[in-house]
Amino acid sequence: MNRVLLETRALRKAFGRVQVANALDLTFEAGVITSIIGPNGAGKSTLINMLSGLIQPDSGEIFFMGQQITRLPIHRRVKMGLCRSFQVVNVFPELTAFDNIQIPVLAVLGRAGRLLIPLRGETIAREEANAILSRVGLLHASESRATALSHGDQRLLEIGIALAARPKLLFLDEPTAGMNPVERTKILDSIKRLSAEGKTTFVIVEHDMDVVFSLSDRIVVLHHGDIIADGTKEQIRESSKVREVYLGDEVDE
Amino acid sequence: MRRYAIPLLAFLILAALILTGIFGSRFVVYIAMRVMILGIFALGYNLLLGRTGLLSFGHAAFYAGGAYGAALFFLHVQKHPLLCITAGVALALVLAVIIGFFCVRHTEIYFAMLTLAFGMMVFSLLWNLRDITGGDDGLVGIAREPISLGFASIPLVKPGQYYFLVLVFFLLSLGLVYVIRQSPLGLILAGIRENDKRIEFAGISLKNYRLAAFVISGGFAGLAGALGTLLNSNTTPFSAHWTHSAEPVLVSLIGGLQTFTGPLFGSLVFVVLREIIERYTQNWMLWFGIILLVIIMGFRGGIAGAISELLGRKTPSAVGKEGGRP
Repeated sequence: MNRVLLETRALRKAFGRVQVANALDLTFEAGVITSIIGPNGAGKSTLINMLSGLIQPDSGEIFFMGQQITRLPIHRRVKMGLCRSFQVVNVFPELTAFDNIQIPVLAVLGRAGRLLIPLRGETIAREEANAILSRVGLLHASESRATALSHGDQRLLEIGIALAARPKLLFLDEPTAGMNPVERTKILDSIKRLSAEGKTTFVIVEHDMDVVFSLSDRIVVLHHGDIIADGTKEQIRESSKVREVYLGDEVDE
Repeated sequence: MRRYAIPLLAFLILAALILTGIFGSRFVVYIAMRVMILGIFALGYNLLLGRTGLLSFGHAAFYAGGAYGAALFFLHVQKHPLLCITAGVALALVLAVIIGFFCVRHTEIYFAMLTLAFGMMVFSLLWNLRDITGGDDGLVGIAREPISLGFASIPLVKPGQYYFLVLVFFLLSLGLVYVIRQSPLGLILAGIRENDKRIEFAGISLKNYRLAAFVISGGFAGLAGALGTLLNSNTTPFSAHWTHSAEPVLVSLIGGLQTFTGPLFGSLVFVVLREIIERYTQNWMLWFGIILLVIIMGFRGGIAGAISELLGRKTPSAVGKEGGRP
């Protein structure tokens, strides 16, 4: 089971003089739910942005399933099975929920470029899109436009789009932000279930410590672009360094 | 009743088009052909503007590509009208691939300005390469030879005869654009319009699909250009001028950006209004501008949007949503 999915070597990124990634060496293994936490400005988003291809690292290398992907464009990474969701709702607003999901489904099936075949005839894509919709609990809203959905449902759709690309490794950027408790439970259950199925490995950036501790097998703590702790829930809980970062100097006893 | 409104309307329009070809006066037939040719131009163009959300100011270059491609093929290679049209479309497609390759890397205003720049380059090439393009005179003497099918040949010389060739290409274009809009590609292009940041995270190569939309719309522009050349028996470098690039933009806006039939209504209004206004005044642009203003401010979904509102239809599908934003 301990198969390395993603590996970074000495990944560096600076914005001006601010180091947001300071020679990061990280590995993500299949089946291990990892949370990345840290105070604001710790470099969590930058890390995910580099890994998903949104921004280029200054130096260092990224390997996905043994292949160098450091300079690969976003869509190629997605097709290899490296995908992400966004912290703010980032969907296709005027399309139906179903079509939102269908776009990545068509892409991974390699059918997005078909121009002389009616969309209605794509039964495999339709079934798969419906399966994703029911998985995130949006089947009832499949014909609603994305903008007409509630904020929580839009967040679910957001995750649905990421799941629809059949990712092997999926970064969720604050998946429960702006969700009510019911939706939160729903999404956490889905993540647990999907992770147990073993097709997708989740890496989560989250501020909510309840979510982090209920979900993670492993926690990585970032601070000013450095990894200051990396281990199981218990190890992180007991780490004095982590306490220091989160609670400030008061912990000095 | 409403369910039959659309097919019935389509049938009536088709019947009217056929009857126009048989009984219409020379003038009416000529105007109808111009409407259909502009319709083909705008239909294809709207795949790029309305569907993909890319505003190009250089599509006259592809229209001219079709026009000059057909004319040069006629003058130097073969006079068969269908081959001339094919050559025109082919040249337009090649041009669209080359120009599109550079343009699709940019968006919004940069994209629009780049297409404008390339369009003006094509114009000045046509203007200055006198030996090949005839310069400001254009290429003349492009006759409509009969279409020979071996055993029989279909004459095209009279406008009433050529009309039906234009009609056939018009209907084919209509069908093709309809199919593309309903296809997986059509959905992807709508996705690009809706959120070009997210689409790459859905596994779609933004550049390639933008280029596809660009080249497809360029091909339709080329078809319109080739048909226009055969209609007028000549070409003019002004077919590549940026003012001509504005025509499909205006036509799509008038008719309704997010609609399938919008560009057709737009073309009809554009050609007919211009013809009427020009009889009374030299400043047809002034009056046309006023009418455009009214349509854009009054009916945000264009003419097609207004009609579908009249018919009481509410967004039949989100991909081809009626009305919508300008």
